[in-house]
Amino acid sequence: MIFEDIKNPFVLSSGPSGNFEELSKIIDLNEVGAITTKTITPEPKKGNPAPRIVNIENGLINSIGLQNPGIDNFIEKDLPKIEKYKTKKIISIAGYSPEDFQMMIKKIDNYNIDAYELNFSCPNVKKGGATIMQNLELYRECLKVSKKSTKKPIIVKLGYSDRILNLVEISINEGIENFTLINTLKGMKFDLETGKPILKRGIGGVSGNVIKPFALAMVYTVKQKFPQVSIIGNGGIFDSNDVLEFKYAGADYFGLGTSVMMDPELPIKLINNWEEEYVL
Amino acid sequence: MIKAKILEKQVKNDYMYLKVKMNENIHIEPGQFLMIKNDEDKNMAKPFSIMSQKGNIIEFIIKIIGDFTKKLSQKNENDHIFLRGPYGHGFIEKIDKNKKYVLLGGGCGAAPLLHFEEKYPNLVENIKIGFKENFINKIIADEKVLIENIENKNPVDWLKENNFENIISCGPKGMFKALKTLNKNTFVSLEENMGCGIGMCKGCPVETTEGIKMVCKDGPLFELNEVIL
Repeated sequence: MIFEDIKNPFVLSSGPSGNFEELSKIIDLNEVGAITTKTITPEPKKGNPAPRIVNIENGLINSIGLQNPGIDNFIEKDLPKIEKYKTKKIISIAGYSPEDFQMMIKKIDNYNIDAYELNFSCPNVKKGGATIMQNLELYRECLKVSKKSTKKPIIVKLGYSDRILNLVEISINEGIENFTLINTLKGMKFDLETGKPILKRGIGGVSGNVIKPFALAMVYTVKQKFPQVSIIGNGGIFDSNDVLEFKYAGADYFGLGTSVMMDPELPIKLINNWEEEYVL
Repeated sequence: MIKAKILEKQVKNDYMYLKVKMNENIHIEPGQFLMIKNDEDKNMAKPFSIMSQKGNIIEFIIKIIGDFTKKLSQKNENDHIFLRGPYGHGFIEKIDKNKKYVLLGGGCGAAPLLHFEEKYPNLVENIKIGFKENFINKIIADEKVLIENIENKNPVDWLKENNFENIISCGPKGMFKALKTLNKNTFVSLEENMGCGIGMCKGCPVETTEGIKMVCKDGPLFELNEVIL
């Protein structure tokens, strides 16, 4: 397991909840099992042009583009607030090279944080994110260097992939057995009047309940082959029945992302509901 | 979420008027918006400003342009919709309360201007809202409306014919670009596709002279001078 003493198996996924400044005014984050920061990169990123969001049936497509203040500003401005939450704090990071991951982990490792999530699957940036996966040696090297840089648990976030078992196996061989499955899937929506994509960047990442079957298949595939790994199941969890499906598929923890954008109070409602129906 | 019952609905061409009764009495400042869901399902919410509030009864004018608004327009009286909010800053927080403003609107995006006039009539010097066609009969008083296809001019043309200095505008980007050339003391209320509505998801950026801001959390009202269109 990633965490021995987690309050409950619910994890705020990286991205939709930002760095919790707004969400913490609406719900008590201390009641959530774990929280994951928005992905941080070595340098600030201003993100993609608008429109960055378009709704689809039971989901949405985003092309935020990893907008974030960069590791140094994050440590100075956001981290002091994040450190105070009495929950497991997962820091999501993405870089272009093994040195990037090493540098970020070294800068942040002595703060009051609990784990790292390496984001190898953001579809919305030209470099880094999912593009590292085009070179499996680079991917392996990022994992190796990250593992060496910290004693804290490392979680690898992967997207939907036909070679998911291969990617998981490489990670296991580097001593990392925790995974977040899955990230968004590439998708588009067109404006029927203009014939153009609605997102300024054209292609974005699809999330929401519509991707649940794809996420379940990845969780199931990995857990069947490697029962020893810990998995944060992520993709389309909106109610207790969704949670139950991820549990059956083999997830150990349950990530909440797009559902928090739909209803910021949903994490607490869902945790209470789950505990009433399936735990107590 | 706040549950709201549809008391009245009118649909004409691509436009819809809605009057709903909320099961909670929340206070909405003119300029703020609500995130609306058609049903208690797993679909995302969309942001809308209101044109009027009387206690827990609020009114909307909405253009039917996509799947969401189409579904909303198919609802019947006594059906329910679901709301959260209000979000964003009220206009009153950003403007100079010692001045009077001309409210200049383009289309249904002008709803918050009507709300502003309802709540702060003393801060309003004049109001003109342009619509392509005349659907708003009896919903908005005639003298506030400019039917562009009949009068052959838009609200910015009208503004040029008059000597006003302080403007609050809601409408399409093209209108803001035209306003920028006039060099007046102008505030604009921006619209953008939104995700969460509260600033956390970074889904609704606007480029400003001070960097990227979020329409939902930092706006929706901005000084026209600070916005890079």
